[in-house]
Amino acid sequence: MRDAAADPGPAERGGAEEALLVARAAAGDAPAFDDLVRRFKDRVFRLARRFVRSHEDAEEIVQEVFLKVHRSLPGYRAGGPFEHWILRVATNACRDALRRRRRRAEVTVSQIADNPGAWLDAALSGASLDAARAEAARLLAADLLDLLPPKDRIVLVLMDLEGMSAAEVAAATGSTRAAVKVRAMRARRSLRRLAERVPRRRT
Amino acid sequence: MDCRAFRARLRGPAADAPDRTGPGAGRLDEAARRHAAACPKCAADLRAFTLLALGSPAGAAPGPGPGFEERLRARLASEAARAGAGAARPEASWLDAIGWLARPALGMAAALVVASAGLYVWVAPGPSPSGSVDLAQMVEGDPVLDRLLAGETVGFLASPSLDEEAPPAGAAEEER
Ligand SMILES: [Zn+2]
Repeated sequence: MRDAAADPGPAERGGAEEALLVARAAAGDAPAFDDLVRRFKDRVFRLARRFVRSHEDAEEIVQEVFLKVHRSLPGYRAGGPFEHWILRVATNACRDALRRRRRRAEVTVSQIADNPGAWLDAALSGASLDAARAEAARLLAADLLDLLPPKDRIVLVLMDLEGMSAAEVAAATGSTRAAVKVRAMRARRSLRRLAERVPRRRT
Repeated sequence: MDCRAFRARLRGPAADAPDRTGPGAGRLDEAARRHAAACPKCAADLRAFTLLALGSPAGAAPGPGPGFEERLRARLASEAARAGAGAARPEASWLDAIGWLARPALGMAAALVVASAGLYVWVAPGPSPSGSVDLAQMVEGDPVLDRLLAGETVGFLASPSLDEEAPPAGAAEEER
């Protein structure tokens, strides 16, 4: 039986191990950096994939994130779990990607083409669609989401799809819990408005 | 089922499977579906959530494909080589000279931006007389607002100009 006072739990041991790994990577130890990449690449990829249209675009964001992490590590000072810091780099990269695409976005609600509009409406109403129509509806949905401010979209994805709490989102975005809550309220309202503006074709 | 239970059912980590065409609808049980059919507010919430899930798919792959780490290593190596070549250059070019001349000016411009951002935070008239800072403190830890967060109509909180918070100060990733 282990002595709880003398033996730290697995979480503490994992945290200490990770801190050591980060310190080694920051000092230029390449295998330690590789280990960090292996630990976090899937998490960062999963997040990035939510905001871009293709696997390749998501991979490019993950590359950018780790290049940035590599450049910034020497100045990194642990103030919390490393995962928070890397998610912060990642959400910044996603925000930049969304901003670039938003500048190019040309779709407006009034321009929604008849067929994809009807398919999207069907999908929003819970109908199941064949693969081609489902894909068209998905692309139109992604176009519409590009109309949201990037920070709103990030908060919506993190909270409503990834199931993160306001505190976790605050840590991952360098914001405060209060600011995240306020933004989430506003973003959900904007999202409802966006969904209401998809023309209803059926009753 | 009430509205609160419906929203709790709707959101969360299991929100959408990659192969599902109607992401929100798929995770609702019969009781939740009946509630949405009878409650216009939750029906609107479901429609909005479905739009979000549909346009933000997690993708089928759990992570980057094969060769990702090799490509990253190659890019890191070429960055290091470029940095090394820059450091080893014997003579500074005229472009570098301009860079050095411009640096103090850039520094001053950055200081001005920081100073005016700070000023803005302090003096900007908020959407409510109390301003956004007070509002933020009020929201923190308020259980009623926690419930509002789950999707209630928010009234005075609904001003669109509220939450342009200052960029994160001293974020390491913002350096360089
Ligand atoms: Zn309801």
